[in-house]
Amino acid sequence: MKRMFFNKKRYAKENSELDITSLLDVLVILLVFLLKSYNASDLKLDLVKNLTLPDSEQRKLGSQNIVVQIDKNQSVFVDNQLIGSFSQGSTQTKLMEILKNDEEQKPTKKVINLVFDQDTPYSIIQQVMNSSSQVGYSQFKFIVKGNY
Amino acid sequence: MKKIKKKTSKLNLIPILDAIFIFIFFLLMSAQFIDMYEIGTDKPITSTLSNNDNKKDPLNLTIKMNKTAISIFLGMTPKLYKSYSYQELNEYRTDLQKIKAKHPKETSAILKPTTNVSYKKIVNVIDYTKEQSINGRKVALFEQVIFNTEL
Repeated sequence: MKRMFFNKKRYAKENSELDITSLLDVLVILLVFLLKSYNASDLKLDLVKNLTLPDSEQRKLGSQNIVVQIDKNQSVFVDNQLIGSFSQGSTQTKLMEILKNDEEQKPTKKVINLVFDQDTPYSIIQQVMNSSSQVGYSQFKFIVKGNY
Repeated sequence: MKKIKKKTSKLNLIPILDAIFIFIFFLLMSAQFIDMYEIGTDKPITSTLSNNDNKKDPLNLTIKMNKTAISIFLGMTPKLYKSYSYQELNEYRTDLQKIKAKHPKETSAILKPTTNVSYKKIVNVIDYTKEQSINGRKVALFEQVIFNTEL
């Protein structure tokens, strides 16, 4: 009985070293893919639901500014906060108020990021651009998806 | 003869594993799985239809878009250069290259879409207006695209 106990103990000691080589292999492969998908742009954007970005050949990296998003149903989001829909008349006034407040807080930054669904008609884009330029934004950055 | 037993020395991989774990954590935090880029444009030009009394006649490249066609207009009193369907965008780009060769200093184009044109089509036309591809290398065509709002 005593002998059996000692044998068990020795057996356990021999197998205590875990072989992590395979785990390391997996992690290195993961690292390669993550490094490949790394984007140096400081633009961090949470796309709202029902919004498909159009594909583009442009390769200019974006920067962080106030973001206006318009989805398929023409709902308007400013920095991911829903403010209404373009089918309602008051939304444009509300949008202008929010943009004006932001412009007053950061008077040097005159840049606005515009994120539209690919099916958005130009009439909506025009309204957003006009509202933004009226409250002082002079540069528009249309956010698009890179195609390969 | 004494047998020399070869000692198999195992490499300690634990520190490198720790480092990779930390690296993966930061990369996952900063990873963006959709590549997003920007197309820059300035404040839209607002013009009235009656103020075309400039003495000089610059290029004034104007691209008018409707749901089915794109038209290139040139000059302050806009003259139609050519119209294209959305399937003829390569031909459109070739003609822009010809215009650019005649006016190498010109960098801007004015875009005038009608209200029912979709954003996807606008982005597509901007792509073809801004850049040309020469031997797989991208070269600027009319880099500055400005929207026009007619009152």
